[in-house]
Amino acid sequence: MEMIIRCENITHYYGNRLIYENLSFEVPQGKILGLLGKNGTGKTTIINILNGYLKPRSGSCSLFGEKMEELTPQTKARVGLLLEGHIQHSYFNVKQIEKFYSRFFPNWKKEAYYELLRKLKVSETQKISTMSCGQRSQVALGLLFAQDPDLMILDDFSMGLDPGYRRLFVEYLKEFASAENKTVFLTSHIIQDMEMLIDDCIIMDYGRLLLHKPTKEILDNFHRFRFTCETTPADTSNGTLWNTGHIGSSWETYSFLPKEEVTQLLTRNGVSISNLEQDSLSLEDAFIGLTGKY
Amino acid sequence: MIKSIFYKEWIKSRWVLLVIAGVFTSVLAYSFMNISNNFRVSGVNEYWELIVQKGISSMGYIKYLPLLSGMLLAIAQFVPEITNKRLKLTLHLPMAESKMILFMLGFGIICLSMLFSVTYLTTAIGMNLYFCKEIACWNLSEIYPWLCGGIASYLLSVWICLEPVWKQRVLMGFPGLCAIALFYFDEMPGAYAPFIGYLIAFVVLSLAFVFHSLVRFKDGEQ
Repeated sequence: MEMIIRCENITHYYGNRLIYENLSFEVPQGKILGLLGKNGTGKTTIINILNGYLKPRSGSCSLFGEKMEELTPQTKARVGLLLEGHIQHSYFNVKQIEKFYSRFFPNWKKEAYYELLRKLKVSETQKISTMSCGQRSQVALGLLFAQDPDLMILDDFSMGLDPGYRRLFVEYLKEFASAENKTVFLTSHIIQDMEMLIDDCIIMDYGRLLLHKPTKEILDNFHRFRFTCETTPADTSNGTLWNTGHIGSSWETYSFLPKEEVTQLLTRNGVSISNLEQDSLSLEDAFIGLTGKY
Repeated sequence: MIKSIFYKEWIKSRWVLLVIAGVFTSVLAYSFMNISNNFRVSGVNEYWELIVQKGISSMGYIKYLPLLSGMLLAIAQFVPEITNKRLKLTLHLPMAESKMILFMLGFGIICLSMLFSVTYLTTAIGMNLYFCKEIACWNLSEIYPWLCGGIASYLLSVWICLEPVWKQRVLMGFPGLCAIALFYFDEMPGAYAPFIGYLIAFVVLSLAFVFHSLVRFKDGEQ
């Protein structure tokens, strides 16, 4: 399977603050990969590195086999880019921006843009600067669909969108990617709606990659365990139990292990626990389980 | 693609260009009305004598207009690009980045050149109507450093606009102003004749400064 995105040993600092050390990942063709993380974990930084707008301290990335700082116009035409906040050339109106972009892309699908815009109650002469964030997101998405890229890179696409626009965005994106074997790389700090969209999931923590797994594997195997314990349970920091915490004698922990193994770990050294319950998790709950609440 | 880039630049800067054109027209009209008035009030002989003997400028009102035009056009074209880092969208378009910036600058330089050429021609025609050929040429020689200064101020303003770090922008402002001042030292017609070639060379060199800022933007300097 062709690797569309390849990042190898990326290390980057802002001043003295470490953002990543030796971050490596690959995105194969046809996958939707979500890079999830709290604010400030470097999601936008990796998008900037991928597109050649930031030189990392070390390491390299490639898109379609081309180094990030040497992307040819032909490769750029195959990559659709959405900037954080749905930034667009806001001095254009709805019609002008379509006219502007159409001349750059040989396979421009004008009807895809106008089809999406028909859902918005805006006239063709409305300026983008006067639109709401949701309306701007649809203009940006419409332009991406019209470009018909092989790879979409979307930076925090859910930012500022109400649930309706977010759902609309996700549904269109899913349809686009699955129908034509397109690759999507997206970042988000809002995890709702993600589980119906992304195939693979990278979860970032401050300075490191926490997890890179298929979304299904996380949803099927990662659970929350709640139990009562009057003392401190054993083995809460051995790497298989995540973010163990308590309020009074009510404890919770998260793990990929089955219930029996979690019970064994917690009761080692003769510690007594009771009422152990296993909960299935949404992706958002799993994200909190992996990264912690704070 | 070039058509499309020019279209974008036109949408961004059309109102500013219109205002600049309006100001130039008004100031040129005022300058000629002023010459006419001086002829009537002071008398033709006295006014000619002032020009010939004391080197009084007839077109001094337009002196800083090219400079301001260059700065305003640079701001109109490049501040929207740098706001919210929209330049990333522009540079992401399927065209070599240097070529893209050259076309954007090309639009600005063509607009300013057209405006300055019309100003120069209008001044030439007007001067020939009021004065003999020698005085007209003498007065025209006073204008071209100012017009070159307009192009230089445009390129240096773009250099500063594209710079991603605010502190650096402020630092760049000082040498930028010093460089621009070179074009406006002396009002005496003909004063710049010996080194106009160097000024033109500096204008061409200013293009390189723009690419210095572009490289810094691409490297993600903060």
